Amino acid sequence: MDILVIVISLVAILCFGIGLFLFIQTKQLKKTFTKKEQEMGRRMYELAILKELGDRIGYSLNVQNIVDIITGSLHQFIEYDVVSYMLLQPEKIIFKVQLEESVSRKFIDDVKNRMMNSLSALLNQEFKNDQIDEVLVGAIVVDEVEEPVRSFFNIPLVIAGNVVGVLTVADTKVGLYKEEETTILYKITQQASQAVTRLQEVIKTEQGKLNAMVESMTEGVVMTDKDYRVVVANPAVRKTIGIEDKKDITIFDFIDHLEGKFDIRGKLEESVKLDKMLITEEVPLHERYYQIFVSPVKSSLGIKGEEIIGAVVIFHDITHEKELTKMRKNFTSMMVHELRSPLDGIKKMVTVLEKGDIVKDKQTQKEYYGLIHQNSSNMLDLVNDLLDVAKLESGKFQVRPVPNDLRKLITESEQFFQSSAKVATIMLDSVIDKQIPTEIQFDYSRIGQVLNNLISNAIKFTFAGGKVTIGVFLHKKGGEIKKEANGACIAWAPTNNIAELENLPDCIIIPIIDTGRGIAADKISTLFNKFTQIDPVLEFTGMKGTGLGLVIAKGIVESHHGVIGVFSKEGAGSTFYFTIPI
Amino acid sequence: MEKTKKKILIAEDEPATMRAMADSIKAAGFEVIKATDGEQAVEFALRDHPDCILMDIRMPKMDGLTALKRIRKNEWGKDVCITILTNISDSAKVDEALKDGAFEYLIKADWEVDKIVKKLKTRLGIE
Repeated sequence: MDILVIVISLVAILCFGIGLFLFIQTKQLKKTFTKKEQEMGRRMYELAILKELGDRIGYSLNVQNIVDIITGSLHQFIEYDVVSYMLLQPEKIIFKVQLEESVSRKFIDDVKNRMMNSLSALLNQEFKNDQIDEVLVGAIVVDEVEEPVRSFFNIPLVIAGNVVGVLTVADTKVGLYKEEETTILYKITQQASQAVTRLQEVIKTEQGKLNAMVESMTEGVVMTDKDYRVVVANPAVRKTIGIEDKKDITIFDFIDHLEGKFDIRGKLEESVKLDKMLITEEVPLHERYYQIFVSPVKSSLGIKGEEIIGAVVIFHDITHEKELTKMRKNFTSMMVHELRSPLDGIKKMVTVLEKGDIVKDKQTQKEYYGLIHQNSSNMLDLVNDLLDVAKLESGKFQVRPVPNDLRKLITESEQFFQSSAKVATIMLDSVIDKQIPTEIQFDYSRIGQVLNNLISNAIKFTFAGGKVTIGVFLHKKGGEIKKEANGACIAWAPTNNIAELENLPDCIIIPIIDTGRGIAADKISTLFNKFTQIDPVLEFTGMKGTGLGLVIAKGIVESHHGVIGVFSKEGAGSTFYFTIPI
Repeated sequence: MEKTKKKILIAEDEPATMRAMADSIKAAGFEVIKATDGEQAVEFALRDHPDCILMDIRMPKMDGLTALKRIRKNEWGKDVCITILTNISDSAKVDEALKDGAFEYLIKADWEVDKIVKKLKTRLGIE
């Protein structure tokens, strides 16, 4: 959406620039006008033409329009039977004749031949009669008028140093065009030509700026003119449709490469016809998804008001959004399942207990109550986790750091997990640096929550016979972490340079090192994310769990202004670490 | 009498649900085999040849739909009655399960234990 607004605004700015330029031009001319009072009448006329020219050019740079304005008003000033012009077009020559008086066909042909000769001489190029596209306006052709061309004056039309045509006045009377008339005509055409030349330069500069912006956009942008010729196709769009190396892209390249998945031509036509932006929600292209906007491009400066000058198509990549939506959906359905399952278990147990014919003895009843209790605690934990995540997301999560004994907490956590480590035949150990202060500011139960999460994960993902070590050591600002860890007898060397571990302030670093299965590189970046870590964890481990623990751990550590992260290599164990600044 | 007892394999990782179902099905005169993950489900099914399997979907190590496919691949497992009993209500999963040869797809929370027992009895022609 934004990009579209930028593009349209740029076009509007472009038009504004042209208007401003003309404004300045007119002002300069006015100065000259006051200086030479004797030439007032003539100047007035020139100004009138240029003013009109300026207004018209505001919405069109069409040379023919400009020449039409000149020829349309020239008769007030110079006497002639016929005024005509020839303009070079890519495939033809426009020959327009304005008859003020009736002349014969022979007269017109004579003018035509003279103009063609003049054009050939100017361009050093031969022109054929069938290239000429003739238009006659004004008085009618009367062959009975046998007067020949007696006065004739021809001026070249030059834009940016190139001859684009010729303008001619002709009459049946003798000796009409003297120096005064020819000078004025020269001046008018010259000024018009200068104005157009400068405008083209302005436009070129502006177009350059516009192109540079469009080029750098991450959205794919393709612009066409009114005839659906591709004016701009930025690198992003070339990549999107797979024509990165092709030069001179046409709309047909798009039609071919879109393989019928998006009717670009049809949408462009529809958008221009309805004068409306069209949005196609989800178009699959080369394993990605795009939202495609098609909109007419309008020039807002012009006599007739808004005019559609082309159309733009923008390819907005929504693959990531789509993935996120899918993850969100998966997350919700998983949460529903995680809550419904233990609740259903409780309900089934209660039903069986109520019936009374299956569970008769006290011991079985006790076992049932135990399971019901376990399920309700699990659900409560889950609800608490969800609440924590909700608080984190809304910025209402709070920790209460007060002076606490970190050694005590580490020892307690380690002891708590010894029994489950034993069951899994995993060696659980803690190594605490003697240098760490006896009291550190932290939230005892919240940091305990982080430790419990990281230790239980480490045990869960470590094979029987493996080892889990909880390390605690002091880091001094600027110190080398590997040396500091080894100095405290902790065998941990961060394998790769991670930005989070650079420029750490004085802090306690707590790594939880396991000899488990490790995590694939592409899964690491998403581990601490609410939605994205769930699927990979489940797929990779077959372990159940909501995966919210790491999200909350991150929230807790960051609330203490610490950092949390992981070093891991698939098959070579993982080390989750976090820091508490001191 | 003992010889004619029909065998039911329950693949369920939620301990309370497993216990309530297992006790009720046992009380109704069936022999119960308990599997707490997908891998066990396949292993015990092929080892004990149960008359009917109640299969959860979301389980550790291997999910129930993969276990279903594994059992169906085995010569013995081609025709055994496998009922998917899960709390995942996702139409894509239902389609997948039925395509892979599940006999039926039931939402666990909708099925009280005695209703499940009744269903098993009807299915196996008891009463």
